[in-house]
Amino acid sequence: MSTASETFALPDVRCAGCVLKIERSLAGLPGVELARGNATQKRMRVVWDEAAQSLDSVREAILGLGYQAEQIAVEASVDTGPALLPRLGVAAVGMMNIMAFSMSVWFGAATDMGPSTMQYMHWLSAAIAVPVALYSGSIFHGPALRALSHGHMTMDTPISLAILVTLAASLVETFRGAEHVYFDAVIALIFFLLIGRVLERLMHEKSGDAAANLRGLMDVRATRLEHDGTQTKLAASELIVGDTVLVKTGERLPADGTLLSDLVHVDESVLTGETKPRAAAKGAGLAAGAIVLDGPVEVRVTHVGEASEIGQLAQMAEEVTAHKGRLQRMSDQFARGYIPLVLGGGSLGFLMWFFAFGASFGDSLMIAVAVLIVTCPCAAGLATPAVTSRAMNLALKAGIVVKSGAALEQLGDIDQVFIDKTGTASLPQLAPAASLSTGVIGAARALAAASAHPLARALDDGSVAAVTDAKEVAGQGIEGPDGARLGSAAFVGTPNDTSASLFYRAHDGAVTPITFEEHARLGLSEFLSSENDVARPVTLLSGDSATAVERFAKSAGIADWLGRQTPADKLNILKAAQAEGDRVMMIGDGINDTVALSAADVSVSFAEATQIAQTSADIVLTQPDLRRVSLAMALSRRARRLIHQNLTFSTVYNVLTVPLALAGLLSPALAALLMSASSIVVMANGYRLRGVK
Amino acid sequence: MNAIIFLIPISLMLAGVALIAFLWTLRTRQYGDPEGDSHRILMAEDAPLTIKPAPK
Repeated sequence: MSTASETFALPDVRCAGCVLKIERSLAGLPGVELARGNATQKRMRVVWDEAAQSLDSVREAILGLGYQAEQIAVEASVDTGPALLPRLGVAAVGMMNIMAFSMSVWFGAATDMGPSTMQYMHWLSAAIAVPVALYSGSIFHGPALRALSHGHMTMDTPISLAILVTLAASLVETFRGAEHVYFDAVIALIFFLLIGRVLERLMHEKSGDAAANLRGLMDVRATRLEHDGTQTKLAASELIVGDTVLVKTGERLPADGTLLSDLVHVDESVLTGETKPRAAAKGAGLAAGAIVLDGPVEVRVTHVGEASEIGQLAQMAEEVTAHKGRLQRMSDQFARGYIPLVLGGGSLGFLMWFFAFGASFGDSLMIAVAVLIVTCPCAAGLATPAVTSRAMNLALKAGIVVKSGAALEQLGDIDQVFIDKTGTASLPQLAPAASLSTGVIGAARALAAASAHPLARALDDGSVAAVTDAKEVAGQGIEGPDGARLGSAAFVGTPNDTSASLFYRAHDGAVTPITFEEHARLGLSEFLSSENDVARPVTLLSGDSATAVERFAKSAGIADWLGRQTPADKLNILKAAQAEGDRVMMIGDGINDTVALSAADVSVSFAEATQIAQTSADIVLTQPDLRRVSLAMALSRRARRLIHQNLTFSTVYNVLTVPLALAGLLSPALAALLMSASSIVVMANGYRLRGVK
Repeated sequence: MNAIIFLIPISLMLAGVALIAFLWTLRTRQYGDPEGDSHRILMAEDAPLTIKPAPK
């Protein structure tokens, strides 16, 4: 008897009761050996006898109960760093017992405890404290040692130092048979700092890792249709380009592909943030991660894994974490320069109290430790990432891929917006009235098929194969090997006296104007009115003829427009605005916008734009809806407000607590409590950032 | 006074047992599904009660 085991995600399960209902119902099926749900993660693991059930029949059974079920590959355990909870448990037990010994020594000193009993208590404390300080404290020692071996210092350096110095001093005192040891202080310190770390990690996990979430969507099982008509089940990662896969209702597409079946509705909300299903006709491209709503459909795989759209989104999201924003870099540098100050402050506290004020060695040591702990700039270090990581994630959920932390920070204070016309602000459509001979239009289409320009895209209907060896001049047009040209009036060498935007010149020199109708891009008017509300100028920049640009600008309600702009012209206009001190945003989609996109302080492009435009842009909208630009700006403003609050808070915290610690008013345990609390306040403040809708 | 020589290590051992029990709960992933487990105790179907006829 062979058994199969699969894990299903149950995305629309609302309560634990539903999970248990599915569990019971599955357990009642013949051949099902185990059905164990996890209501917190909304997952269920099912083990069944393959003779009695199949993957499909189990899935159908869950669907039959009215719930979606997606089979998922159980991810390899994600590395979230060393386990904190066992270390916290060990520290807790150690702290409670050492406290009991310290208490009895304190009280015993006032009563009748003999020196040998006290020694016994000290040795017992040492026996507990040393392993606890090394094991539970390894969270701090590890990174501190690694940094030290590279000649750096991290936030963990002062903490690790404080632990080890106090431990060593206590051991020396124990050997000498002295009255005071500080094992209780060391372990309490570790205990409170670990509580802080546990809470921090919980919040971080809640904020979520955008790249991992996206990758998780690709982690599905696929059904491959073989040439002989049989079906093979395999992991999505094993698919290769050219495979044909069968996707059933409710399943996620395992890879990007072309639809071979007639018509299907797909839910692409994970990719685009658009919750309305999209209808796709035969031959249309479908993206991995989208859910098929009325399957089954056959799809020919075109891109797998990292090459798929969602894989690229995940890569971009990963770049974000690698690419630190300006504020982030600032606070990192601040922390780096600050650590020596922390160590200096600790030594200063000790020297001041021991020599100048004549305090005992033990008291001076405790003050030094309190200073080391309380001055740790952990809150300052967390201030920015606590907000940005959450902001990027929220943006991604709304279909906005922010590629750098810097862009997120700058989005909030843009002074001027430049927007490309064709393909960005407007969608061109071949005018139905265009009276073109089929010969001309066929030849023009063959050239158009070789270009990614929006006008060419609008002209090309896929009916004609692309011309090979065509040369494209960015922002001008495209030339075939026979000398035939498709492009602007200047490119084909004709005076532009018509309202046409595109001209075709056959190799014999006959020029045909091709007219288009232009429709405003989705969300353009809302975007313009929201920009108008904050009195931010929006300028339409286009390589199109002045008459065409003017006509569109008037109909869309854009006051400022400039036509006949070459890529270099666009760049100069942006540079001029920047020279006046304005921070500019460029929204564009074409090859001719690339230079301007790279030069702008913040640039925005669409997922359907040319690849090079997407690469140059800081922000990519998965759905070409201009309202999302306003959403992203609003999110950025709120994120910046939270970052500033965090930085202010952490500065105030350090400014207030350092003198207190130096004055000897903070015990090491209290210092640890304050430090953990400050980090948690900063994390929690970042979590206040809510969705953008 | 000699009593504490034995009693303290014994109490430490008891604390050790509690610690091991905690580590065991971690290892057996008993914190993996707080939501489900809290409902499971309410939902689990008990074996049906069989009421014996009262003896006459």
